Amino acid sequence: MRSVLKNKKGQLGQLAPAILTLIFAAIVLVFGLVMSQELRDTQTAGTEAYMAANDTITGLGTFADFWEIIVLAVVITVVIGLLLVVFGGRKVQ
Amino acid sequence: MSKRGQLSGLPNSVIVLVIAAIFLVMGVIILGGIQETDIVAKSLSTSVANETVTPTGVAVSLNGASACKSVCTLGLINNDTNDIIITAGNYTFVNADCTIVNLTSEFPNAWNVTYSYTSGGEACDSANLTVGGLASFADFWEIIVLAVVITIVIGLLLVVFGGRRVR
Repeated sequence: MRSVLKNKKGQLGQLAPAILTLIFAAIVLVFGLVMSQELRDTQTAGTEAYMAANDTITGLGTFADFWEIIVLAVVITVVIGLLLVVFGGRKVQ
Repeated sequence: MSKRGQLSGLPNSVIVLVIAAIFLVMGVIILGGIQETDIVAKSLSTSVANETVTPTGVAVSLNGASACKSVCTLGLINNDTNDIIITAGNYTFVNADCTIVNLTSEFPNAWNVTYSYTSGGEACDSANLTVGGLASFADFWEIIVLAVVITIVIGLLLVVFGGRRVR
C-alpha cells in the first residue's frame, strides 16, 4: 500500500518540475532568439553571416511550434502514470 | 489503515497540483513580460506608402496589423480616386490594432494610406507561439485533477472490494 502511494506521489511529483523545466526552456529559447536576432542585425543584410544568422533564427524559431505537443506529452505521462498505478494490475516499485 | 493511506495522499496531491499551477502561471506571466519588452516587440520599424484599402463602417485592418505586436502610426490618407487628402474627421484610426474605420459616406471608394509601424521580428513570433503553447497546459488541469481523483477513489474501492492485498 505504501509503495502504491509512494509511486502515485512520485508520478504527480513529476508535474511541478516538468512545468519548471518547460518554463526554463521557453525563457532560454526566447532569450536565445532575441540575442541571435540582435547579432544578426549587426551584420549587413545579404552577407554570408547575415544569411547564416537568419537561417539559425528561423530554424530555432520552429521549436516554438512544438510546445503544445511537448505539453501534451507531459500531461499524458502524468495522467497515464497515475492511472497505471491503479489499473496497471501489477506492483510498480 | 490502507484506506487512510489512500486518503492521506490527497492533501499532498492537491499541494503538488497547486504548486505546479503557480509555477505555470508565474512562468507564463514572465514569458508574457519578456514578450512585451521593446527588444522583442519593437525590434523592427517599417514604413508603408500608399497602401490601398477600402474602409467601411467597420474596422478594416492594414497590412501592418499582421506583424507581431505591431503598433501603427498614421501619416497621410489620400482618396484613391482624386488624390484628395482625407481629413481626420472622416475616419477613426486605432494605432494599437492598425485598423481604420470610415465614419462618413463622403469617401466610399479606395483610400491610399501612408503609415509606419513598429513590430517584433522572429523572436516575437516565437515568443507568441511559446506563450500560447505553454498556456495550453492550462487546458489539461481538469484531466489531471480527474486522474488524481480516479486514482484515489478507485484505489480506495480496490482496497475494500479488491479481494487481495495491495502492497
